[in-house]
Amino acid sequence: MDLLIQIIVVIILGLVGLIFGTKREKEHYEEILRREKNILNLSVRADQTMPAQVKEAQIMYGSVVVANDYFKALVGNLKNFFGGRLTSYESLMDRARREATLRMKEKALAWGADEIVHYRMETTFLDKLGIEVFSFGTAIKK
Amino acid sequence: MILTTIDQIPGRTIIEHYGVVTGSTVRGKHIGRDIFAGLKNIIGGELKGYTELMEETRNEAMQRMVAQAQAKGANAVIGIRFATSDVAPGAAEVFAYGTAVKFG
Repeated sequence: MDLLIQIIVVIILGLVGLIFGTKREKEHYEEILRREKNILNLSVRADQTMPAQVKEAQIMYGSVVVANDYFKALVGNLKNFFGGRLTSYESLMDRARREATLRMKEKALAWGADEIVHYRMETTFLDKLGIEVFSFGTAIKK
Repeated sequence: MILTTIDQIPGRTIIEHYGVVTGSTVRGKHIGRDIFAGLKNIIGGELKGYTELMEETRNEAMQRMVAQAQAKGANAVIGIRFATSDVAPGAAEVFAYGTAVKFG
C-alpha cells in the first residue's frame, strides 16, 4: 500500500514537472532570445586587451541558481544509470549560462559600459541549493 | 573604490601595492526561501530565493574584502577572483580575493 502511494506521488510530481517544466523552459528560452537580441551591440571579450583610451573600469557580474524539474531530474537519474549524455541537464546549464551572462551585460549597460573585457564564468554545485552559474568581467567606458 | 578583475586600472597609474586582500562569508537558507525552492524543484527553472542568497553572500564577501583594502590605505582592488563552495548542506561560502593598490 505504501509502495503504491509512493509510486502515485512520483507519477503526479513527474506529470506536474513535465507539463509546467516544459512550459517554463520554453518561455525562458524565448525571453533569453529576446534579451540577447537587444544586447547584441555590447562587445564582450575574454581577453584583457584594452582600447587606447579608457575613461573608467569597474567589475560587473551576474549570477543565477537553477534546478531541473522533477520529471527531468527523474529521467536524468535513470539515464545516469546507463551513462552517456544527460541532455536535460545540458539544456539547463545552457539556460543558466546565458541567463547569468545576460544579467552581467544588462548591469554593465545600466552602468554605461562600452565593452566588457576579461569575461569569465564559474559554475558551482551547491548541495541542496541548486547549481549556480556566476559570470563576471570588467566593464569599461571609453 | 575601483574594483576590477584585470591586473591594471585603465587610464591610471598604480603607484603602490598593498598585497592580497580577502573577504569571505558563509550564509544559509532560511525557511521562507526554502519552501518556495522546494516547489521550484518540482517545476524547475531559476530558484530566485537562492539566487538572491548567493548575491547577498557575494556582496558581503566583496564588502569585507573592500574594507580590508581601505584599512590598508588602498583606493582600488585589482585582479578580483571568487571561489564558491558549499560547506554544509543548505549553506554556501563565497570567498573573494584581489590585490589592493593605490592609483595616482
